[in-house]
Amino acid sequence: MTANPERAREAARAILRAFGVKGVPVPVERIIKARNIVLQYAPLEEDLSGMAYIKDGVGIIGVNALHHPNRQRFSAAHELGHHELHAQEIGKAVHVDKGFRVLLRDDVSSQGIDPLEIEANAFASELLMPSEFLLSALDAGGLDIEDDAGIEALARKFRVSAAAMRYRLAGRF
Amino acid sequence: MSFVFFDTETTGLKHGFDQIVHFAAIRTDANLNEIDRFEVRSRLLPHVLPHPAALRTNGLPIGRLLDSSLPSHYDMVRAIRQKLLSWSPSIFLGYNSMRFDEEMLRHALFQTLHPAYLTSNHNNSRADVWGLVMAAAAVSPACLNVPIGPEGRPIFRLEQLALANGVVQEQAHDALSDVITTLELCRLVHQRSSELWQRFVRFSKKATVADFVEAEDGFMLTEFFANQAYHAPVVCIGRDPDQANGRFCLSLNSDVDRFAAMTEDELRTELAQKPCPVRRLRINAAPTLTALYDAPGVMLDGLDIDAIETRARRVKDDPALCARLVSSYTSTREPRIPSRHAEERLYDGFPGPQDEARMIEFHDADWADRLPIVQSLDDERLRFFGLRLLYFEARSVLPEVLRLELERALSGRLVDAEAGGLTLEQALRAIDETPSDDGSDAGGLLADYRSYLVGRIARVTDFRAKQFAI
Repeated sequence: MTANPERAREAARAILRAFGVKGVPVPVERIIKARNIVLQYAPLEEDLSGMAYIKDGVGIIGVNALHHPNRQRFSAAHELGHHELHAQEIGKAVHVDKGFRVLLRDDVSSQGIDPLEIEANAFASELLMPSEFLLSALDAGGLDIEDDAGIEALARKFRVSAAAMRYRLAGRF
Repeated sequence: MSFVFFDTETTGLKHGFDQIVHFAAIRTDANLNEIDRFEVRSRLLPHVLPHPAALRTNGLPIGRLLDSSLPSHYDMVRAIRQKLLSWSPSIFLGYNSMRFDEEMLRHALFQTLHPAYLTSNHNNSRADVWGLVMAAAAVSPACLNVPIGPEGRPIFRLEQLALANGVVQEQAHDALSDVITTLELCRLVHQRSSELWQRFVRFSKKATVADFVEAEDGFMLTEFFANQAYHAPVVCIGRDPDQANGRFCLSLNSDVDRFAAMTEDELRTELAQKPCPVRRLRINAAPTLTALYDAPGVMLDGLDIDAIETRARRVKDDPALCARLVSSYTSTREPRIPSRHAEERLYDGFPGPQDEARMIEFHDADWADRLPIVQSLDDERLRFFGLRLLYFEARSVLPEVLRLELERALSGRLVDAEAGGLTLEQALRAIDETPSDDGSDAGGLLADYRSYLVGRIARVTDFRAKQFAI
């Protein structure tokens, strides 16, 4: 499979439109719940940000309760991306892995090697930092990519980590 | 990573003056399956006297607390610390642990020259199962059976909750048994009300609470008074200037425009009323919070979410009003006077980085080399506890003058009512005031303790008379 990040971004934009999101921060939890996906918090291993699976026909997103809330938001959005884009992959595995398949966010996903992970990252990035709102925020104040304080202020506004914002601005998501 | 359920048995209820004598903890995975357990006891510190009511509660005879084969208090705290660090990061849970067990643990760590905030540092977080079960009773009654007392109020004592929910408890007020019971109650909530459990876990992290209260356009705050839950829609109006973890919220049942039109004096008068429309929460104390869109009907009680959110935005968009409300609320506070007892000064500031390094050095050194380390500590509280620790653990390394000084101070704590802890006479009086015909001392526990106290009074009086000519 080849990753199609633009398809992922468009899926995120469609959700933002359907939910009537008018500004940031984007209410990701609310969106997840409105899509009847169960959001669960649990103390997970440090390198595990979240998981997406289907159990008894119910979509579930697990988020590491010990991580920073901004990281939790990105993980939740990323896992929502798996549910929106990769339902078939998640669903297929129900038959082979003790009732459900788990997609773990780990080092591989953060490196963006796996096509599923590339798409989920692109989805999460567009969902939490929609181009439309990002551009107006940048137009309003201007931004120097080397300006740490500026990036951090922008990240706070969107309630994402500064690292996620840097990635987004550098076009890596 | 995991949950850690823990409990303590202590010599009494007074933080800083009473000690832990039994500590137990169970580590579970994220699904509450046990993966490890730990238990340790300690013998009594020489200057601490158990309160008779504590002995009666936990059923520990004085002879058991004096058993010389038990680890010293210092060795117990070292063992607890080592185990809990090996289990970190985790979410730490106990029953009424925020107000009690965790406070006892913090004091024990601090008084043995360790960083006090083990359960909230090291990427750990914490919450209190007591709040969880009260929230369960309030918003998800099918979750747990809560016994009702003769006055018609719910009872949240662990022992009675266990009984009402078919949780078999081997021995109430035994640390390990209470940990198992607490874990069982959590399993019931986890199975029966996933939503409630998720909120509980989520808000165990301080940063998550801070983020939530500041980001949401209103949310439900649940507070408990006299075992009853009270839910209010609120919006965060600012930070507590005197406490970094404090946040102020305004009840959205209030008429916001009326506040905005008030003079400073009128506002102060208004905020002095009970119940006050300004509520305070601690982001590090796992408050019971619910997003408006998650709130069950019983909690909302007919409130219109859209109207609440509109009112919340009205408040948030008026930072000047928020600042006025916070300053009016805090202006009537009495200034806090520091205690003269080191035991009550845990919250009077953190040790500096140099003292932190010296504390590490202290534990790694031979006893003979620890005195100069203690004497080099900048923080007078740490010097006080460090010298006391040396006296307990390695009296022989102390110069005679210093040893005598410590003996005077420590024995003084057993006879001086102003010293803060329970004195010999007070302990004896408490036994004598305990009704003897209620069958609560069938095992002769208090009678044995009384004999011990009488003997100790004679020894201490004699010792102080000889040593200090008192």
